[in-house]
Amino acid sequence: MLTPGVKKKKVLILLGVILLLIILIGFTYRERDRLTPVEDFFISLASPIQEGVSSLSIHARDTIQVIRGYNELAQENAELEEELSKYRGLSHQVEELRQENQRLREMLDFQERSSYDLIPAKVIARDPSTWFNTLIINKGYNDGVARDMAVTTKEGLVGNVIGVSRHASKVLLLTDSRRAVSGIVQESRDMGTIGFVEGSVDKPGYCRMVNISREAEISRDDVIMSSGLGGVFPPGLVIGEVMEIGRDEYGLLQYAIIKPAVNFNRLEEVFVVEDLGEEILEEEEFDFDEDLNNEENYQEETEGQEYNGQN
Amino acid sequence: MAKIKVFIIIFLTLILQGSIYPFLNLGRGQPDLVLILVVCFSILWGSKRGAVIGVTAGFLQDILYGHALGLFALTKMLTGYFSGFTEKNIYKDFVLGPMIIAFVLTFLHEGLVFVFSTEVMYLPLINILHESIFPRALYHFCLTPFAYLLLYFVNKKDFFYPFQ
Repeated sequence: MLTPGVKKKKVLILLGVILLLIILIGFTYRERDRLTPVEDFFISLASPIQEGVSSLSIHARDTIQVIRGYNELAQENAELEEELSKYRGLSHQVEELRQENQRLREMLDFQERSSYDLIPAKVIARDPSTWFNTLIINKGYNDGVARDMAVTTKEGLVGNVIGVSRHASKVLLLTDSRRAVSGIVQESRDMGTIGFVEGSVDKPGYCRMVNISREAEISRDDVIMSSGLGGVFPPGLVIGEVMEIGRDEYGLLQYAIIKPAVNFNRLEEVFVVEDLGEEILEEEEFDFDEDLNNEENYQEETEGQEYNGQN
Repeated sequence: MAKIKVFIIIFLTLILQGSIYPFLNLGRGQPDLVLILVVCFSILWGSKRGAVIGVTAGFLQDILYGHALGLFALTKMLTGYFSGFTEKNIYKDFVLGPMIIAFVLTFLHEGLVFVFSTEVMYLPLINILHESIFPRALYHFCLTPFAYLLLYFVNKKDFFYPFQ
């Protein structure tokens, strides 16, 4: 049986530890450039084991799926062959368009957009808690990865790097509610349709695009792309498709629920965008400024015409 | 030696849990295997050891997967501490007790993460209870007998000696 003095001491120790941990959370909650040596040590120690276990589990899952879906495979194969022949035809058209695009770009003196350096990486683990959407990739600062670099797949945007150790990095996914990306509607492309895409808290696994102006042209099935504003995410990467549109509580702005283009449950290989390409951001900004200048010039011209007309 | 064994078990469980998510994910999130371990160890060895194991396991989780250091250390320490209160009050060879404790303490653990992660401002609590916490608690209820019986028998065989 514990005496009241010992009990009191135990409670005091517990409260002290709680206080220390809360202070530690406060200090480490902010984004950090580098992890502490202790974190670096444990992540580096765990990453080879995680890599082995992860590739084993993915291999096992794929084998089970092949065994389960053997009958469906023949049908799927036929469908895919049919689709492939369709795409072969399309690829010629795409090549024609690409060449035409290149010629037009040369005429307009534009730079090529896809000048990113990509670092291929494997997903080796995922955050086991349901609250945060982070994953671990097998490339760290020794491979050139740094904090805030964007992470993509060929399907679209995945997230960005939030912590880097020697041979592994932590990536915060697009679906995390702490994440915000500047997005634009592919169809309309005007500045009014820019909004912030953040992880949806009501619908886990989906994103929510907020602060879209009331006049913006946005509809269901529209594709949302990254706008490049903010400098972390390169422009032109697919974020997802609009599932639902609504008005905010004051009715002044619109919001959209977005289904991400990337299937986050099946992520295996990703690319870290090493170089954003300054030219691209400058180009985007230049476009915006030019638009404004054009508008101002247009207004000046029309005002001038009106003035002349009155005289 | 017992401390090292416990540490290795928790470390490997954390790695497994993060890397075999395609198998563990049943549509509504995945179970927290480390939380189940913390609860089981606490039931076997009491509050003090439960809290120490909880804080160690939580720190490892924060390091490997978390964003802020100390968040899971705090929540798992408190979960280990409270589940240790049942050490002297349940029949240790009857598995239903640990199953119920794991079920109930999942609500405490997830509730603490909810509060300490500042997500409380944005998340509708009823939705979270229904969509995330309750399925997870049920998942833990079903998985606890496997972990508890294994730990209970190896503990009886003095695998964790001098811990009893």
